Amino acid sequence: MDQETDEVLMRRYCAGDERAFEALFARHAGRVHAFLVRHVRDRALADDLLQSAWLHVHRARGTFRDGERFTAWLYTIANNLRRDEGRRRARDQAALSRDGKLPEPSAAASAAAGGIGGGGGGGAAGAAGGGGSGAAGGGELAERVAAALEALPEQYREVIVLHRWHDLGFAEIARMLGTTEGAVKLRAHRGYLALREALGKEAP
Amino acid sequence: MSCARPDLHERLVELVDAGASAELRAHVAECADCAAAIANLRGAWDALGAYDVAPPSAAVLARVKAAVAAEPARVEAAVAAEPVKTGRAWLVASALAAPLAGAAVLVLRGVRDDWRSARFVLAAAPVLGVAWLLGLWAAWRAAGARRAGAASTAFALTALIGLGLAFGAPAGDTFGSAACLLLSLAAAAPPLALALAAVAPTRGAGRAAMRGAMVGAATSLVGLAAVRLHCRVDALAHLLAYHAPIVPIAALAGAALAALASARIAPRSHVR
Repeated sequence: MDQETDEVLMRRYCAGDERAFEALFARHAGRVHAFLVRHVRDRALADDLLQSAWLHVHRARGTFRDGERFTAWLYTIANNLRRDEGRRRARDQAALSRDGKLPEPSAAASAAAGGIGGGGGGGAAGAAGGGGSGAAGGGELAERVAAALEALPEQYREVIVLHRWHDLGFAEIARMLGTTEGAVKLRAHRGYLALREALGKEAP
Repeated sequence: MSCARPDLHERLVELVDAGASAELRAHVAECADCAAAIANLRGAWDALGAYDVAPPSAAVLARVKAAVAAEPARVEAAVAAEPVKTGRAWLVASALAAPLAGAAVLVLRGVRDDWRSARFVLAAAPVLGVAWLLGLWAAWRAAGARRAGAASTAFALTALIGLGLAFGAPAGDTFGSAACLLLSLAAAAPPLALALAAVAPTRGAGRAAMRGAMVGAATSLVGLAAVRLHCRVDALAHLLAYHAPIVPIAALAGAALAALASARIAPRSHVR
């Protein structure tokens, strides 16, 4: 099963082969998690979004089309989820600033605090990651890179994360984001330049 | 290739990994400015390599798998029952069906005798056609991506101009009949049905209904234009009673059909 492509595994999964799901999960769960961590910089929230992403993969597997690349489909789901979460958090912030009261805690926020989510794994992971950038190593430079990435406009950051770490070409990223390949290249170009400027001479 | 190309520096980003064309590589090999620019981009690329992320814990992975395994069977049934997703092909079919339906009205019922003098009508027809296409485009943007606002605004403005021209047509014969409304409905229905097939599946009945209403209003314009070219009556009361109602009727029909279609499908977070 290790030799099979994601797309073949996905077809088998759609046909009811649970081992195919296991193989896809083993291949991609960690990478999707890293994608989410690099965006939200909160391991507990990323854990929760990871669960939502795979639930959506399961629920929407009937919509996966022949000829579609699995990774692009998977990251589209993950990206939409983290965008939705970002918007929801922004609304909560706005509600807080209007009435001066704390917003109701969300499911994700509760999970981040070690509450719901099944087993408190998110809380454990959050503790393991230190609740900061989620960087596994690299020390100060890693933190600076994470901070510089976070400071980028979202439209630049999502292109750079997908391009740099997830083996997606500009054309695929453009399809995922509903824009043109030229626009994606422009965002990547500007994003990399902004990162270079932010990191200054520490960048190699 | 030369540095004067306006998109060259954006294309340089292709070179930070392996996706660049031979032409671009050849240019950078000879151009000191572009080589410096690519080195700058590669510096950022390499710096990002320092940002590793620890994998999720075994407990988290187990939790996620358990959640998937616990998904109720009804969700699987809903997925299995989900209709085949449609897309741009249906929208193209709709765009072709609209002028055909309009032409059918004119062929079967005839064009008004004084159409050559009805300059406003002749001006309105293509504008309404453009408005109809813009409406579909707006619906498509709303279905597949964000930033549908500009498309919707363009649709609304063009439709208003087209309607203004149509209602500003010079007066002619006076003859009123509900047949005009029926003809409008007949001309609007096929493209509406096809367009809904393209854009109806979505999350949330509310969003689907709004999109369906937009498609309905857009497709009704083709019927409105065709019947206006056919009808000999220019009286405002007739136009308001028997021509204009097609727009709200089609919008309501589109909203209802899209909401029904939406209710039948499972959540699809990867589709907006």
